[in-house]
Amino acid sequence: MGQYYRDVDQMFEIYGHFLERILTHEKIGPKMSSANIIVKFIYTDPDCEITIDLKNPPERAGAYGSFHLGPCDVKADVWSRQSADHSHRFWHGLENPIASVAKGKVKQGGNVVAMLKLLPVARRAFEMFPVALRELGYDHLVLTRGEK
Amino acid sequence: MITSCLPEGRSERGRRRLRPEERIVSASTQEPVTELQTVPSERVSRLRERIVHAPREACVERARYLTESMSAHWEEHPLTRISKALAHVLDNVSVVIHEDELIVGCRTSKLKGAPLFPENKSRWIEGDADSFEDRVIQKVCISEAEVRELKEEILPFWRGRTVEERFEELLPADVAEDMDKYVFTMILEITYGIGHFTMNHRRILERGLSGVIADLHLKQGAMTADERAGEGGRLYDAMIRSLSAAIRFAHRHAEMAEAMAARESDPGRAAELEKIARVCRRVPEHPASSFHEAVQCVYFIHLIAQIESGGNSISLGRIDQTLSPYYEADLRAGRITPDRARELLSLLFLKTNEIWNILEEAFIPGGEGTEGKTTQNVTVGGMGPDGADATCALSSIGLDAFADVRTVQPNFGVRLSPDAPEDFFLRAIRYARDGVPLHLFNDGVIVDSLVDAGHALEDARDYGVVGCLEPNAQGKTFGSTFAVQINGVKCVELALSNGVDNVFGYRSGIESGDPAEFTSFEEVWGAYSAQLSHALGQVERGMGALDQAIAEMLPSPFASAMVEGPMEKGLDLTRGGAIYNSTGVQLIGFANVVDSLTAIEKAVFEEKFLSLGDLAECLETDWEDAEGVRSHLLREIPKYGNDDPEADAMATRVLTHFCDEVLRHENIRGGSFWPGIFSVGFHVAMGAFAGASPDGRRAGEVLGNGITPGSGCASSGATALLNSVTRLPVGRAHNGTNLNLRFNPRWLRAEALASLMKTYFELGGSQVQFNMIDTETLRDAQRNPEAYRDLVIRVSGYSALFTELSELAQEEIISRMEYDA
Repeated sequence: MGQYYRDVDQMFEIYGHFLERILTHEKIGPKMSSANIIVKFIYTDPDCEITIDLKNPPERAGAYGSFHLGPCDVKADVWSRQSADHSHRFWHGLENPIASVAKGKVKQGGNVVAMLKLLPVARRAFEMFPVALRELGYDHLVLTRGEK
Repeated sequence: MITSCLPEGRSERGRRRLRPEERIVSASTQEPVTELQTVPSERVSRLRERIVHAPREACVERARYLTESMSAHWEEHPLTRISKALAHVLDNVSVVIHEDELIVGCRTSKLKGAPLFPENKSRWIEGDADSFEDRVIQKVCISEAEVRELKEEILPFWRGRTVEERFEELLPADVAEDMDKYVFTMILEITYGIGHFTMNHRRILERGLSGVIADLHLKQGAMTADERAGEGGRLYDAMIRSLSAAIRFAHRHAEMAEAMAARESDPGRAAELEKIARVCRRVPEHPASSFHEAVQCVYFIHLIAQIESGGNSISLGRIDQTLSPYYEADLRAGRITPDRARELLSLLFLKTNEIWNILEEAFIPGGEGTEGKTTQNVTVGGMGPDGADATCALSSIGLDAFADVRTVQPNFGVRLSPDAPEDFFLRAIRYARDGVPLHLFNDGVIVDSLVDAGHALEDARDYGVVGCLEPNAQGKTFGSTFAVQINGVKCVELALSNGVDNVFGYRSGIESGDPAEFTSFEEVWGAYSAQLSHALGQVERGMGALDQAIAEMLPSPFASAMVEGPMEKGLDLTRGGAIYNSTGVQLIGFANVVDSLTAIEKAVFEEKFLSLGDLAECLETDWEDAEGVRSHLLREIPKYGNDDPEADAMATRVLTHFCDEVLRHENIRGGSFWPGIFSVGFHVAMGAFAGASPDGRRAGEVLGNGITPGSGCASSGATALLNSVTRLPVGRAHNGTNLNLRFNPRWLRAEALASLMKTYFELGGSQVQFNMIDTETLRDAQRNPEAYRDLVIRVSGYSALFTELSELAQEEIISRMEYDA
């Protein structure tokens, strides 16, 4: 098991809340939606997958996209595989995405160029992730620079 | 009626103006441009279809034989072990002669096969090989057995022994950290070597490899025992070993052709195979005695250099000048016709389409469509070393031959001297108008630029072009021309955020001051300059580590024997053996830097439309709740590319400053850093990693490519655009500049294009390339990619298949201004 998440349920709880926040955010949501792609994140330790659908009509009113915790039938345009710990650090803005791919910490495939469309929301999402953790009472999982 | 497209008086700014009799086409010419004969031979048509539709495949043969040899000789000197490895590869890789071919030689056993170069960098192969076939961009076929061989037998040997790993040992920690911030890139030349050179084919054609080997023996004979045991002696040994292997490689083709001829039931094809065998017995071992032999010799040398070091934009250079003596001799003797020469050149050009490399998936965004960095440049036309125009019959034949194939490779350029024959110029223009993917070079500007960069005048006049559009002395240069890309817009971003990256929120630059406290535009400029200067300093240190790692681990003795300098100095190319050495540094997002700085100067400091602090906040939030501000900056502030003196003055300042900064730096091969402004695919990738910019651009949007104005910005027409571009001192950018022009062919007459280009070059334009495709066609190609599989477009200095680009890159092409001229 990794350093930060005790199991898949906890990870889904955290990412579910985080994605809910950013996909309904009036500033971040529209920018994410404009990427018009479906991304599947495949995690290890704990092993699970999360799919973000920014292409099909959102399943919920008020949201700019949908997400699926666990396996789903939605065909992804691009996939990204990484450890859950790496993802946790990434969403804190502590992992450089270029270095991560170049050094093999993140493996991705499919329409990788389309992933670039999500970069403009990175900083706002990084700000939101610790907020989401605190809202769930996981203050101890909030990282600060130098605490990797 | 053709009229000069630029206003009177524009040529009075100090640039040499062509005399009326020198002009390529008279301003009042009313003659229709020459009709073209574009009827490729049936053989050329068949082979073109075959290569255009061939699947991309990986081939492990080279990696297998290289690894076998390197593992047996690892403890030997790098020059010795690499030359033994090359020999082992050339002695063992499959020899393939494809049906219908007259010019032979392959890097792999597959038709469109990519070899692998694990000695440079192997981790990516291990990570990517399983998903080669799942790629959306640059899909690669590979068998399970080959993946298994890679993982179990080849790659394990290379762990801890690659150039990449040596580079990481040498790289200063702070540069390593900065490398990941996308302010600059500087590791492109690990995966497939430095490359980017032309070779002295004329020497091989005249002397044969046996003659060069004899020269090397003479040099060895003149050495003391100590000298023979030293660097120079080892280099000569390695060269002899490599050249001897090259001869055996050609002989293997002769044997294969003889065997195939013996089995061939078609007498015509049997005769062709026997001819191939005779040609391969003779060249490259001996001097070429016919045009056919000369073409085959050039291709063998080109091919073997691509097998040795990865083929990173190793280019053919001045093909007409190289081959013309053989064509003329055959013509005089009645042994050849122009049509036969045209066919052989077409076949040579088609062969270059077999050469490609697999891109690391992580690097596809910056290099998509480049055939894995194998852009092979070839030129026709231009002046000779004596300064007289050297355009010859073979120049036009070469042009026709390329028009027959119209493929992604080679990257075809037409050099135009001030005395270029009118019919040649018009022929090139007509082909460009008809969509042949070529680019034009202006000798008048480029020769002066190369002399300014330190070339002897004769060498400058005899420049070849490598990679996308980088000019340097043919067969005398080892210019790492696409070594570095600097994200200029990111430098502006960092100047307005005190060094913090607006995309990720972490520090990516130096602390150059709180923009809210800047009281003048010059303080903004100072911050921009400081960020750029810091990045360049980091780049110089990083490139030093990279060049050292390559020189230590992977010398290139075969290529060193093909370029002037290493034999004379007894020094490998990678250690500075060539006569000319340079390192290219490109500014990416030039137009956006110009327009951003213009916007700051006018809107903040002249109009007082908003404060610099407020602007910085708009950029940090990507214009959230600031659409009015963005609209003002986007639409009300003058933009480069519209013949606006203020915007163009800023463009000149940005270009001059960049060149001055780059030229301060030197590489470890005894050469200088050379500035260039062209972007390959980095205007897409670096745009994606750049935050919003003061020109009104949103975060993530593509940047302007080369010296071309930003998409949608040059709305005043092609003439105004060329007025702006020709105000730039482009000759300062010794590594080259790229201008993209897109016309709707429905409304463009060749005569109008000729007049426009004549004036552009008169006024000091350096290079230009065209896309003659309307938006409707490109949209249709997006909807029906199968119907447009051979649709070739120009990206930024190179050609690519439109349907193989990502949607982002396709949209960038479509978003380019479409002029009617």
